[in-house]
Amino acid sequence: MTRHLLKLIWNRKKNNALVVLEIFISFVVVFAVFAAVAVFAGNYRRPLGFEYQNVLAISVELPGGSDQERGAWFESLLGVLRSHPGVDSAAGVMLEPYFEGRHSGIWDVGGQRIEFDRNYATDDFARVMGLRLVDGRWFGREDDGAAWRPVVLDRDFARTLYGTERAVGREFDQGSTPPYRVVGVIEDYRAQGEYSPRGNYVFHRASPGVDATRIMARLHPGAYGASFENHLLRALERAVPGASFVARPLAQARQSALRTWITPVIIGALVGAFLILMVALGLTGVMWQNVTQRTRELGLRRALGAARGRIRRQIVAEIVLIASLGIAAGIAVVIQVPLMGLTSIIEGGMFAVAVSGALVLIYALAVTCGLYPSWLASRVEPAEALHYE
Amino acid sequence: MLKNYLKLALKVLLRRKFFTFVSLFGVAFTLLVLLLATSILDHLFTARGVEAKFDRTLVVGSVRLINDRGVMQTPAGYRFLDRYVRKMQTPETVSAYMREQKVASYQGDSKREVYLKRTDGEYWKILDFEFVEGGPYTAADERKASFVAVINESTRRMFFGGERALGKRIEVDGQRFRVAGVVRDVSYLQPAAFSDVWVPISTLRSTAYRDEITGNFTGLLLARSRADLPKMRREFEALLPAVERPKEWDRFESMATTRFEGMAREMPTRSVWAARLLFIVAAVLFMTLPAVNLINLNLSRILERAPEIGVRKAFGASTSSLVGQFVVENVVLTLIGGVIGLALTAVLLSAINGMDLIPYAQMRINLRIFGYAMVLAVVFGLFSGVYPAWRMSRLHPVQALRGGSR
Repeated sequence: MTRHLLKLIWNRKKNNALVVLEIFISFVVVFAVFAAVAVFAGNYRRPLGFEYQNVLAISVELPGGSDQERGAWFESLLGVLRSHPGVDSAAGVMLEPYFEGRHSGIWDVGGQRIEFDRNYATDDFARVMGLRLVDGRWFGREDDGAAWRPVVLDRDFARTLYGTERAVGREFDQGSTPPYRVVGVIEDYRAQGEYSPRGNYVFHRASPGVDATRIMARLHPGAYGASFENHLLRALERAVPGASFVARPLAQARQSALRTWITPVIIGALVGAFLILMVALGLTGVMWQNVTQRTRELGLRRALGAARGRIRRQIVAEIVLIASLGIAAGIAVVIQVPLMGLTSIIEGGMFAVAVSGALVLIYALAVTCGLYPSWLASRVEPAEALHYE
Repeated sequence: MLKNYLKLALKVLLRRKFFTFVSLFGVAFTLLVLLLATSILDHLFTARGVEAKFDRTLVVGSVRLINDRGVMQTPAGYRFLDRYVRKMQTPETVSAYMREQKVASYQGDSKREVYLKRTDGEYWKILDFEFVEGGPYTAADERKASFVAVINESTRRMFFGGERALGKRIEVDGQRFRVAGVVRDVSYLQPAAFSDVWVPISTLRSTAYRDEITGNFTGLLLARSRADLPKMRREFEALLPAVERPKEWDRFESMATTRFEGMAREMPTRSVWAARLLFIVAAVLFMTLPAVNLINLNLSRILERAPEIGVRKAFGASTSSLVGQFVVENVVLTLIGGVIGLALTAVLLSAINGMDLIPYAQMRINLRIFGYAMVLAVVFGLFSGVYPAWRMSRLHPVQALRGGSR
């Protein structure tokens, strides 16, 4: 049956080639939209690595001073915050979550260049941000004056560096003395927010006031408000005269950041949806013409005793076959993405989701567009058809 | 002659009404998709409206600090823009603004969230906002840290229920401002202009921002003319080595780019050329689909008429005259489809605007889009008509008379 249908399709190759081309491009477009949505949805569902609710980010500008002075000032600010009513805990960090900036570095590990993002944080940061330790510990007093420089890796980075082996306790040297030592591994930390892709992330222990110049303060739920913020900032200003502060709830930063990520996807999906509707109209038109042109052939089949249902099935099967050809070409193209090792753009699982989504949609489209023409085909009167001959 | 062709085409179209509907609607819809994409691109990229001067404006988005341990990339700091960029000779005006943030705003007992952008006075000279009430604040307001604000129409509606807002007070981000002007809403897709409320930078609770070369600011550099852009770029690059940086960093980098270059740099490919190539490939792929769709629709419509062509051929019509007939007919039909598509696009765009998927995106059909539509219709009409017409003209008369075949 299939072979016979293929022969019929081949007989009308000029017309069908265009339909195959159209299906092919549609498949690629639908795949692109689905891939974007799958990647974003996948990222969104992955753990964020920190808790953004009830956190106030305060950027601090200290009035000059030596590293030592700055350290002392910063510690006194943290002290003021911790004793302030409504504040649960406070810590210092270089780059707060959702901040547009990033601090990236490259390490040569075993001849491989590994890119990563880094950040500097104080001993209380893990508690303030609700980081989840997977293994080992966060920075603490035991790192004071130690013979190593402690780092905490996120799960992705630990996997990149050590695979399935245990990362905690490892030391490595990146042209620095003393060497780095991994003291802990945390859940994947995604500083750019829910939609951002995964990546390698490392925390260094910060010298307060020097490389950590922002304060993250965890507040009691419901404590935040304009007067609370004013009161808090005045207290900080009294603690270190000449210093200045800008405070902002992390939840607000989050909203703006998410909007920036999602807008291009919305536009792409919108245009994609209309493209597909357009293709649906086009295919219906083509199938229709196809059927009306083949009145004789279909009439002959009817005259020889083919049931209406069989004619309908033939037409639908034909369009499904034609669609398969286009889809095969489409898969051949999009499969290049993982084959060329571009897994950083889309992971295997997401790729499979996008491809199967596109497959289902295009087949559904093909069948829907074939339904009415196939019904028309089954209405062909044998007598009228044979009258041509 | 032309009239005859069209009469004939009309008669054939009326023969199968539903098919004609699908075919014509298909053409209209195809053009609608093209127009929709054009409107979005037009909305995104063309310098117009509030961003009318953006064809001679460069944007300083991010700065990079580099040492042997890595790279820190962040938005620009105020100190860098104010101390160094503002001193440049080539630009007509330099502005610095803080990226908009969603902030809480209390009005009576109710809490609302609005976007707040803090800008300097020069900002209003580079961006051409349309004021419905009052006017912008000035560089002097910025110096004196006056608590004045410009709000958009949506915010006025939210706070004052559509009454005049000039001189009234609003509370945003815990501070009280006097409304100095009301502007029309600006789309989220015009990032330099977009916000709900604009206030002077100096109203920030602290002056910390003044000392930072990295921060949360964007710079706008308006050149006197487009021809000055390369010169402005050179001057910008020349001032970078002199920028004072924290001692642990070896190098300070930044870039003054056009909007497109800025977007390209944020893509994974990083390079402007790669982005341009990607953009062209995407555009070609995108244009091919409607083109193939139109060819398919037209092919099926023209093949419908095989018997008629058979008659004409049998009576000695030449290939070229047949091709001419179908191409002309096709262009006319596509133009009709284009007009229908244009009307549909207008309806659709207003629906999209209304859904608020993209804040304040007011995509409209304007004269230029109308022009694009007509050009697209003619080009696609010609393009999609030639192949079917050529196929048809090669039909053998005998076969055609029998009702065509393959």
